[in-house]
Amino acid sequence: MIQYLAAVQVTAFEIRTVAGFAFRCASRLKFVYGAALLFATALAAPAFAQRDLKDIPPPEPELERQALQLADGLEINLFAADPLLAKPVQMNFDAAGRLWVATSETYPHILPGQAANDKIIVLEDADQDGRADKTTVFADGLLIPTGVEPGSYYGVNGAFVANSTEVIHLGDEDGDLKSDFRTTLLSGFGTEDTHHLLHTLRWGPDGRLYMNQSIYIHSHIETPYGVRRLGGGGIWQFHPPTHRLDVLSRGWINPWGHQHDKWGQSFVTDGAGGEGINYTFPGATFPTAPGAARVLSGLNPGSPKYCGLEIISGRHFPDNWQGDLITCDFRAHRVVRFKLTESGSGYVSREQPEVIKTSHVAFRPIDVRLGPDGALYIADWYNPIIQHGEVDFRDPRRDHTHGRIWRVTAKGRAPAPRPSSDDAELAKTFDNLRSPEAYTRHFAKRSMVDNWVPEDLDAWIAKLDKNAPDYDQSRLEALWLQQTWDDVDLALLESLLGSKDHHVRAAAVRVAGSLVANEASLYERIATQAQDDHPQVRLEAVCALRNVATPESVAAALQVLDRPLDDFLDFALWQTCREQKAVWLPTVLAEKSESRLYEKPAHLEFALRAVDEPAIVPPLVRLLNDGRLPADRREGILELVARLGAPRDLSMIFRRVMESANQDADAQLALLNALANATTTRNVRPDGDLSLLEQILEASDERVAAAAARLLGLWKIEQVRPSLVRLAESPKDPASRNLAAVAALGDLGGSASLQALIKLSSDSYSPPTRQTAVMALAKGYPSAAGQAAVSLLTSVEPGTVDAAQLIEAFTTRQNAAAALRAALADKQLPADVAKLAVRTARSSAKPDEALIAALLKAGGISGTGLQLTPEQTAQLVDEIKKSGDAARGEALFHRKDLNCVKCHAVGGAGGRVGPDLVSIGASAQLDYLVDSLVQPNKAIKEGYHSLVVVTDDGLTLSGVKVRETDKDLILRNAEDQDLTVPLKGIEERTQGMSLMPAGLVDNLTRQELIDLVRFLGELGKVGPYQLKPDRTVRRWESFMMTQQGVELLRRNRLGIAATNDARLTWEPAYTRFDGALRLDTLGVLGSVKNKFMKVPPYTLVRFQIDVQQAGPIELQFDSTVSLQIWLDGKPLEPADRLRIEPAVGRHTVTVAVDRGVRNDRLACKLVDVPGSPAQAVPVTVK
Amino acid sequence: MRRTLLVATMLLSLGAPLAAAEPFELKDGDRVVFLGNTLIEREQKYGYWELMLTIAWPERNVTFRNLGWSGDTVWGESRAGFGTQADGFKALREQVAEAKPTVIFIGYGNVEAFAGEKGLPKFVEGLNQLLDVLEPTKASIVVLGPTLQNGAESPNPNWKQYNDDVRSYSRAMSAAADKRGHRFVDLIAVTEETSFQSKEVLPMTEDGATIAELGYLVLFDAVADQLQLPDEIEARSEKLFPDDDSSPPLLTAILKKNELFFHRWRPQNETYLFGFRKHEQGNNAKEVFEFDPLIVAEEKKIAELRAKLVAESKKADGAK
Repeated sequence: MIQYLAAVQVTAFEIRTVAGFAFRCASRLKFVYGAALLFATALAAPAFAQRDLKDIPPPEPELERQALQLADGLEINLFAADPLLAKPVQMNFDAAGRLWVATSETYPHILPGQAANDKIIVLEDADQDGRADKTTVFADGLLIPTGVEPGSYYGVNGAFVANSTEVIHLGDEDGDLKSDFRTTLLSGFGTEDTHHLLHTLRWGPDGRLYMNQSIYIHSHIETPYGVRRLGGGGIWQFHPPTHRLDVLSRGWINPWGHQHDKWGQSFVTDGAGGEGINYTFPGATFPTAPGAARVLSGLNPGSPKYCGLEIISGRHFPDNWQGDLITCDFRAHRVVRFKLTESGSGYVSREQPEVIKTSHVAFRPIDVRLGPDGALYIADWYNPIIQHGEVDFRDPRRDHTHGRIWRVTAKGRAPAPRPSSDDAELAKTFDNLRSPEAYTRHFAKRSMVDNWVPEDLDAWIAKLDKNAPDYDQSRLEALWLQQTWDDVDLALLESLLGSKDHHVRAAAVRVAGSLVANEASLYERIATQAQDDHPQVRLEAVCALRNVATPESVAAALQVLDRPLDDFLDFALWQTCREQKAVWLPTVLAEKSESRLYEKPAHLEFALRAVDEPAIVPPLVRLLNDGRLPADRREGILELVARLGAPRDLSMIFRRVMESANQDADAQLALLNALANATTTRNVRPDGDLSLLEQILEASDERVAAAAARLLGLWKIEQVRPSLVRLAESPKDPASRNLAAVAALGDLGGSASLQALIKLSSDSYSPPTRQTAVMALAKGYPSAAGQAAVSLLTSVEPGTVDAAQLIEAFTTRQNAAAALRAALADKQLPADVAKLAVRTARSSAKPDEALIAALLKAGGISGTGLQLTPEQTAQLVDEIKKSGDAARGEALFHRKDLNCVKCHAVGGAGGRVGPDLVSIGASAQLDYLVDSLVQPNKAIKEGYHSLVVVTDDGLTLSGVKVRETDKDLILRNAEDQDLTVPLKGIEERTQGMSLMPAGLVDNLTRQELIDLVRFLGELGKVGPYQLKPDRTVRRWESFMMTQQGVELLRRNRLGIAATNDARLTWEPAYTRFDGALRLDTLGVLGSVKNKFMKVPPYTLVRFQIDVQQAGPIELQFDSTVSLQIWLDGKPLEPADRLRIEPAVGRHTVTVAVDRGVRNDRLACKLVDVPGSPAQAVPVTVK
Repeated sequence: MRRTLLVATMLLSLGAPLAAAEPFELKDGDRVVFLGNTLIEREQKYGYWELMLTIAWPERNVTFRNLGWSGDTVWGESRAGFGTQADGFKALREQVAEAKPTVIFIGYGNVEAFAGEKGLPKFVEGLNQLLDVLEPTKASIVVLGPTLQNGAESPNPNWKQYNDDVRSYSRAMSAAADKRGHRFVDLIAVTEETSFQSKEVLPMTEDGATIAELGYLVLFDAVADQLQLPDEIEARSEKLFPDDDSSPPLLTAILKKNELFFHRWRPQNETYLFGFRKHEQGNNAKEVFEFDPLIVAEEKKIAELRAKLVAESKKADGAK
């Protein structure tokens, strides 16, 4: 109820605001409209998103160069520019140091009558002065080629090219740098979106060609081994000589960057994802993969949208740059740098200061490569307009003619030595495998693709100095060369599997995994490596074991459970168990006790959990009964049985619930909820007499009693109706069990329940009881519900019922909505109640316009909302530029009634319903922002269209699709809650619009709208609203003043707030852009002063940190004045630089602020302690 | 390209017509649809089958629409887009209907055969279901059988087993076609020949499985043989390809038309033009229909080139 009180106070505030400003606002708009009429004869502005962009910068490269701000110690020069090339998409060097660039002037869409004439261009810097002096058109007549990688195919030099639906090899038989022979290698790639086409062609160290596709693409490729299909974003792995095609990993939106590090590990960036650098390995699955039951996340949550990826290597860049990842934030005109640190089986990635930033709107860095001189080459798409989903295909400002390649060098440092392009001397080429430049090592291997000289390679390996520090790394390069030739020397592989360097062992395991299907002797070696000392190696072994389809292989993978797991390793093992299900599960079901899988209960439990389907229930029950499971694992298994089991399994759970009454409330609650879930999602219930559950209605724990009441309703146990009615009717101040009993009557049904509910909805009961009764009626008795709802809303004090929640019970059911509409006829509602109801109705799955009209009429409010003509928008944009105040706008962004942060994060701080807005200002124009606020459905960001789902129990739900597993659809609703909808129960699904309800900004004054847009428009631009890559805590939680919580705190010491007591509730509180919380926006726990205690007024907040690697770390507060601080419930001595040493895992820091003293701001960031191995980040998402 | 054609025209020796069946014929005004998997899809880029069928009856106005889709099956799997297999099949029906065929060549079986003997009953069911929905168009149907992998070139270690499976799929297709009164073209015999089962300088397949440019000409030999196409194709095709390295204008026009039609029926950016984001860029969908007049114009060019061919051959006959 407290929550609800807050909402109504907000409403009252809103009303005041509206009342105060509505007139002025309306009259101003009228004025604007009048002014616009003067221009009525002028052409209407085009109705696309970035129309505000009128200041197209002059295209001189030098002007652009001057606008680029480089990191200290770096300088930049123009390598090549238009007219030598236009619209570069991807680039790669060849062994001779020439830069091959795929270019497309046709993008985004071929014009009827126009011939597709896109090109592959080769840029050459013959005099090695850092500027291209020769341009050759290698091929033309292509249709949006989105990737080029030079390389030979069957001995013919040339390049592999992604050309719309195909991968082709363009051969150059006579060596004149003109394509003269074309081979279609693969066909059937999807083209559903031209910025999703197959792209990012990249040779791996293993001689495989890696190629990426984006989210809308559906590819169907025939190969000699069978058809390969991939829907959605992912990375293909292709071996041209054998035409072997596989999927390495999947589940990104636009994986526009991919690079292997020195050890063959893969990193990926996503042009539409939100998590910076992604670490990937075979089978790794990310959130957008269709049908994925489980996914991984990226290494930098809250750091969205990068294109291209390169890893710094070589003598030209200083030591502290080695191994750093460089990628491009094309939206915000930045080139950025991340530092990686190994952590467990994965990595920690930290953003560093930018390599390049600029306010030049056409600088669009999209690809980045290290060149033969060790310098960093950056492809600049050069376009003020990006995207073709939100911006018209034919927008006249879309640039089709320009493009640049920039070259970034380290000041005062010599270029890296270029590898000789003359590879006549093979021995010398082999030595290049030891080069510190990845470039040189790579081309040493590439130059020998067609020179199969295993004996020479063996001789070279034999001569290597066994004591040299790079001995194993050199031999790994040799192994990769053998792999490229498909001629791996097993003795070399064996030796590297035993390397002292875990990187080498990990890479060797992956090689072994690629061979084990045909080389059975490798199995034992890989299995041993699952118990390697290093988690990276264990992860590779777990992945490699998928290539051996035996139960023993899965048992071998499960051995990693005997050591600590981390997210990546856990995922890899889960994937192995799941993929190999058909191989091992039958042996377990057949109860073959000799199976190694039965040796360790924890192993079997993990494997069974990975499968997660009803078939696993018998072995789970067997595990429960054989007494080998530790007690603390039993509850979790019982829950799983409840979730998946048949009626007889559920009876066993039911018996346990009854037997454990009043023992462990949390465990009992979990089982009751699991039983309820089995009933609602699978329509399965325990056998036997379920009316026994009536006893639990008296449980001492409120939550347990409420869960029992709910179940009795769901199970429709008629004989307990009198008890439920009695409970429903009892107190004036209903507790959860009382309200649950009211709701249960709705589920129970029957005319006696109807009578009871009608009575409970009458004014002789408390508002919460009435509200629950009305909502229960809405499920089955719409017409009674409609009347009761209207009577409730018109008769109670504002603030005593949750109108939004109440209305939602109607808008999710079509017949209930109609009944409410009918009941509203000729009735009046308080305006503030009507307003809330309208907002709820508008944000529902299928807004019912008739209901909205009825609510508006009943509330006596006008519902037209803000509508702007193009001219009015233009004028508004002018004012935003002139008088918008970003700081005031930011305050509005955080204001409770607007609730922008509830759905939108800025740099990870905020809700996850809508896109993260961290650089929206740098990528979107002001008019687009205005449009998006006023008409949220006009242009919807990729991935943020809602899905509307009608379930078989008549509910209409809507939300943004988070992902879809093989069983469930996971939707995120407008409340930032993830709803799991079983696929079986979905009767209809349709594409909805934006979850952002229309009319959100209707209540703003014109100046407020101007300020808000100004704030959004500044986000990501060079200046105070460009996020600094530090570890400021941006997502906090603030203590909610629930009655229960407040009482608990008053009765106990304040420190109880720092414990995980479930009776205390918390809500998210996000910092402003500057990283500080505004204390005055947070609740205050009133002061207590009596003879027993004296407590000043307090604000309680907390945040979490994720520690991936233990060690000392500092919490740096802006000031510790009047703070009390706890770490995981233990008080800390406040200090501005507070040193802590948390273990690996998640930790909670709780802070109490004495508001009698401190009322302005509170900020905290994580800072490294020099020399400490610790890796920790603030948790940004819930 | 020249070298492949020389070899091809040499290989194009037509066998004796089978006595039993009526020779296959395309009539004036026929609309031929090619429907199938990669074999069909890639034909549009080489154009040889279409060229040969065009010059078989140069005086007749026959138009062609290639609806091949890589990886496709009798269930229309490659056409599903964001949807289910059922959506793919629905799309297949719609695509065929829109092309208004009077003759349909269907080329399936190579993708499905990877499911082996176990998958055969399901495949036969799928093929029959496909024929069920194609027959109401009243088009005459020619079922092309699947092709063998080249044992000497295939990187697939299990190619032998696969080829055995392809043989049984081919037999099943032949039986289904027979039963329903459709013509069947067997491609087993031709792909069993030495040229398809050895390492050649100019290979018949790209990767031991997928038919390469030259392979299309050799396969057409089998098609022509079994369908008893007119003998004149050989002489006409020899004449079409001049001694220099250029491509015959008729072939160029066919390829151009195929490209335009591809942009018409499988446009890029489908998601924005017709899919779930059409509310954003659907206004540009009108451009897709602007390809229709361009296709008509290209077909007019093809018709003119055909007429020229007829005139030339009459002149030649007259000279005799």
